[in-house]
Amino acid sequence: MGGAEHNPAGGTTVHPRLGRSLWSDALRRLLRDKAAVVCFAVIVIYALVAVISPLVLSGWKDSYNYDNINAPPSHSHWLGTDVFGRSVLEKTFLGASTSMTVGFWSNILAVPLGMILGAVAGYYGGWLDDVIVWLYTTLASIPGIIRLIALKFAFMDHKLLAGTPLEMDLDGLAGLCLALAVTSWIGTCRLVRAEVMKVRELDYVLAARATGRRGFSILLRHVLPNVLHIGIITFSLGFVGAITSEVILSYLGLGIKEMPSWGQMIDAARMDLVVGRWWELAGAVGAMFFLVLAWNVFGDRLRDALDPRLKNV
Amino acid sequence: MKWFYLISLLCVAALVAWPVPFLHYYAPKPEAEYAGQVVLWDSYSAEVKSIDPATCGDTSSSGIQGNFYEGLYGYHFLKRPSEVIPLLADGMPLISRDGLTWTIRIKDGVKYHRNPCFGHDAQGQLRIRTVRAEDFVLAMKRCADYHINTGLAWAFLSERIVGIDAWREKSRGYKAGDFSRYDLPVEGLRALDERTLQIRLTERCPQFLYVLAMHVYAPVPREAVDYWLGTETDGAGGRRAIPAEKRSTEFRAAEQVVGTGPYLLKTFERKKRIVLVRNPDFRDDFYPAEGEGPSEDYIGDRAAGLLDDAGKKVPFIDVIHLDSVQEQYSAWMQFLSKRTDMSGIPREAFEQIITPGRDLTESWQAKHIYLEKYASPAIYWIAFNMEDPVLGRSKSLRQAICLAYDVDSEIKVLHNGRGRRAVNIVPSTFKGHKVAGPGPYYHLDLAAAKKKLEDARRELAAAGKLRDGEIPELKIDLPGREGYYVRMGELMEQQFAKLGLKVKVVLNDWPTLQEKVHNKAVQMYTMGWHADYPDAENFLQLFYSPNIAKGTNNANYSDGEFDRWYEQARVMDDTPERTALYVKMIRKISEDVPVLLLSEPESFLLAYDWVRNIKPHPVGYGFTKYRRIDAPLRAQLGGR
Repeated sequence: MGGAEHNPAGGTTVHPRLGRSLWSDALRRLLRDKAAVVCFAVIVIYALVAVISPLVLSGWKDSYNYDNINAPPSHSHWLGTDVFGRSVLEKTFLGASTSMTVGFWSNILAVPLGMILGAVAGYYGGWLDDVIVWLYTTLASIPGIIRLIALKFAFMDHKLLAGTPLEMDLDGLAGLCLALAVTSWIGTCRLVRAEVMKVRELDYVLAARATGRRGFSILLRHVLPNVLHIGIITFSLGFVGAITSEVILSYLGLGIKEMPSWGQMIDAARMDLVVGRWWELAGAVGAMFFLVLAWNVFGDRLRDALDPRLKNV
Repeated sequence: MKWFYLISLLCVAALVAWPVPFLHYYAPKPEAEYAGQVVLWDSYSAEVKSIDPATCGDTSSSGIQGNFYEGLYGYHFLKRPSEVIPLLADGMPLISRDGLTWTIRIKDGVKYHRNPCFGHDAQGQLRIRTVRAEDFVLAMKRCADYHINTGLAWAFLSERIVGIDAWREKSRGYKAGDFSRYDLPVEGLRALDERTLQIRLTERCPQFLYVLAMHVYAPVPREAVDYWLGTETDGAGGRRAIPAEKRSTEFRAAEQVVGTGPYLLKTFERKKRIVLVRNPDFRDDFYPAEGEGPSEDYIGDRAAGLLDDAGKKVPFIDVIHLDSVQEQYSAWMQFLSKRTDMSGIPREAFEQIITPGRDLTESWQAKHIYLEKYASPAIYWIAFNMEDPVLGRSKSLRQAICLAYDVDSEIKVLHNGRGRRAVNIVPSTFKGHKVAGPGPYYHLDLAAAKKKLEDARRELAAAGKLRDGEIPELKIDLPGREGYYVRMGELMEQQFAKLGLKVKVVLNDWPTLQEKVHNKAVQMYTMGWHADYPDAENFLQLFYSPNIAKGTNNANYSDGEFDRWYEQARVMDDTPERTALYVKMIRKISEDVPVLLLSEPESFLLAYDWVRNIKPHPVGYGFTKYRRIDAPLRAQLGGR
């Protein structure tokens, strides 16, 4: 953990090894943790599948074969075929792409939003804190899935930045990511706010203030870097939340329609188990199981690595 | 400490377990409630929107209402083709030589259900009263009432009965809660005496007999309107008047239902359950003694056991208990566990249950289940909005889409092959269908479709409707969001892609789509029509241009020649000349393709052996009174 030197009083003094930052220390801890490494590898594999499959399987949508619908697993189709005679395995790979895209973009939007609002509320306090706390407590009083459904309905048939090259169909993937981002920043905001309230009273922040630095500069250079680990942890755990929300929305018929998703697959296979057709459900649930497990374990280990005090909590 | 843990555990267990006896006590036990009675157990998934005859416009509501409301005429339960028979009328109508005046005698002594609206007798029992001709006049006035949402019921009366449109306009001037408007006469509707109704038509209308066979024109006693819609309980056992501005115009509660049918509506919890019980005052009515004879593809009603109960008094069943079950899986499980007596077949289970020869597999027959197959006189289609600047302007584009669309695969993939490709706008069992023959664009021919698409490009280029030299993206609206519609949308994208056409699929809920269609804010959408009566005119009127305003011509198709033929045909009796006109109209639609015809559905119904006398009727309702449950057999086979 750290170096040790002889103490004339008869004991040993332990101090951190010089030159190792919080980040490199956390990385070292993570790399030592086999479970974290394996889980990270799983996530990387999923990410690779997510990036590569839309390129390799671009013709999947048109690969329908009405003479081979709902076929069981075989040599030609390892996970059987779906209702249009298309490969379920390929559909599962494409579903990974959808899930990873949704997880990534919704958190890329939600985490910074939650961090900024939480940091501002926690650092400045006063009426700014009141407004932000009022905003998230009000939003949090509505169950998350209801908020999400309401937003999806509101986005229906609407386009963002219509008529520009950045036009986004809010009824599709962009709308889903946005809806998830708008509804999932609250947790990050709460945690960051609490941490910032604690950090702002620490000596180094008080010292920075004593040197005459302005509040915003202190927040940006001294406070935010010290709560960044919370953002990273909530990003990894939020990823799981986004994936499961997408699945629920697709199951409710409010998810993405333009590309395959695991939620769609579960919805399509709703009655299949009753008649012994397990492959579509197994494909979606299996793929989701490993990804969610990997993210959960990795997120947990990441939290331990970045904030060792929480390890045994 | 050991005792502490033990006591804690016991406390937790007690806290968890204490509600159980109460749950058992309060759990609904309908079987016990119906002890000694013959019950039909069934479920429903589609919402029953109406229990008022005037506002009935969907098959779910009709299926329920047919048990307690009866019209002047109905359909013979067994005979096919469908045959109209008197129900509350005492014989067929007397029609004047010019075909304009219809005089109908009403059966003597037909009683309404006992209801508080008729008051109480000296012994405190609910009074009863017999049906009068004026009740039919009131029923038709309610269907014409501006303040009641009577889409279907009004459509068949408008411009047909002398003075009824003027009456509707007058009703508009009254407040919704002012029922004195029902005292205003309609020129063409008269009760000549207590048992004689006279209707004067604006023009000959041979189909009017079918209109009178709809239960939506079932008699309504004025007492029910005044009592249930005009007054409310005063909390002290009496009634007080409801201020006119607060009155409802529609019957919405079970106790407000005052019909003449074999069943009383006991419980109506729209999204929970519906319970109907035998009407003790129902007149003597008997199971038919004649049925359909044997033919090439049917063994005949006698051989099918459908005449075993001939001449017996109906109804046979005491209670009809229907539970609302939204999830198909749950409904299917209820049937398999013998909690319900009948069920449709879920799409996913179809191949396990039905053989390639369209029969029930032996393993399912061994479960004491039998199969009823029947074709409904209905057609599903994709409607093109003829007022759309792209699809409306290019006939070749519509023809190309029809030629490229693989309807047979759609039936196979989405409906397990349940149905047949519709080849013209009239169902295959209707007159005119065979003679008119298949439309030239209602078959799969991709090469011809591509040629037509080239013609379409030229047409649209001339009209300046191409975008960057290409046909713009098309949009299709579907009436649901669940998995079935997602799959339907995907299949449509696949079909349009064969022509290189892009299509955006929009999933809507049903009311939203209806509103869009009403506002003509759709380009293409899926729709269908189930025959209201067994006459091709019922389908052809969907393309008559004055019906655009009435909302039945949803494709907004308008053609002068078609309109002229329709106006000639609709006043003609069933003659070869009329059939020739029907054929011309069918072929005209086949050429202009305002709709892409999809399928004529085929339904499969499963029932346990203890359910007898099932013969689904193509257009009529109210036949549950003929159904019989073999209760000892049900008990023997482990039924409910």
